[in-house]
Amino acid sequence: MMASVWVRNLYQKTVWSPLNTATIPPRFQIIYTLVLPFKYLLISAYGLMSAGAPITSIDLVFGDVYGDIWSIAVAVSGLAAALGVMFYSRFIALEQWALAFMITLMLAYVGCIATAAIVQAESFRFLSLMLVLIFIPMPLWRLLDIVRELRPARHV
Amino acid sequence: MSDEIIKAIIASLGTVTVAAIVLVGTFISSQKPSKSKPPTGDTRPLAEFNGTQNEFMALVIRDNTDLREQLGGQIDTLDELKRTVDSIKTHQETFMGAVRRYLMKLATAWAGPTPMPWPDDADFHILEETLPAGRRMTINEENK
Repeated sequence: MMASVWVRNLYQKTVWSPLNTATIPPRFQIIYTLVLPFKYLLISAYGLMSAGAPITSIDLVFGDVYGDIWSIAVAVSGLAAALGVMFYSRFIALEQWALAFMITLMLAYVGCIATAAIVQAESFRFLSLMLVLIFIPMPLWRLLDIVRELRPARHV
Repeated sequence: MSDEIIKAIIASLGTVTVAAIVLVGTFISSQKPSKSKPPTGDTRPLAEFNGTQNEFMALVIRDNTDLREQLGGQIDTLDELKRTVDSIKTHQETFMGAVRRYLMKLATAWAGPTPMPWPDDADFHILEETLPAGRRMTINEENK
């Protein structure tokens, strides 16, 4: 009984509860309820899986140790962002912090790929660079979107 | 200490510093007030409303002076109501966020096939704690 009440209360605080979904404009509901949580969890899984594996461009510039730290940081920021959006009515600030770290980590990756491409003069690294740059605008847009959401309203 | 560990420490500190700068920048930016939205063109007085789901919110606000004051003062037309409700922050656990969700819930209950039970969750408790006791009873009776 207690457990079901706890689960129900927890569900009501999530982005999937109709109570919270009602406050999201219909055209953005799928972004909040599906796209963002899935994307953040995918980023987190990527970080976890790459923790033990070599990331050649980062390893080349900063070494293996930072490569592992970077991977774990990506996993943690992805998980934090996922929790932030899942409980966005309470933890939107968590998503904001996580995105700030995630974007910084992506920029560090961009820097490493660019450096590796220049040092090693390998053309495929430029393709990797393009791929990463393609993915950066989305979290950046979301971060700016959160800023807009958090701005205090000017009453009429 | 090996070179690799020193490089990792420097790179980690650099990452944390840049992330902190991004975070502080966005935090400061999020404190600036947003611009008010232009009117939608609907200047019908709230007193005319007696029908649709969205208009139910208008009725609730029109009939509750305390709520109107909490929502930002004079609200006489649909334009003013829309701008005020839109300006309420929905993503923070504030009183205004609770008011908006409460109104949404009332609107949903009113439009649905069966009446919803009177709200008994955290949203309502926030309202209950904030509104004066007399007014609370009146709202309760009006919407039961």
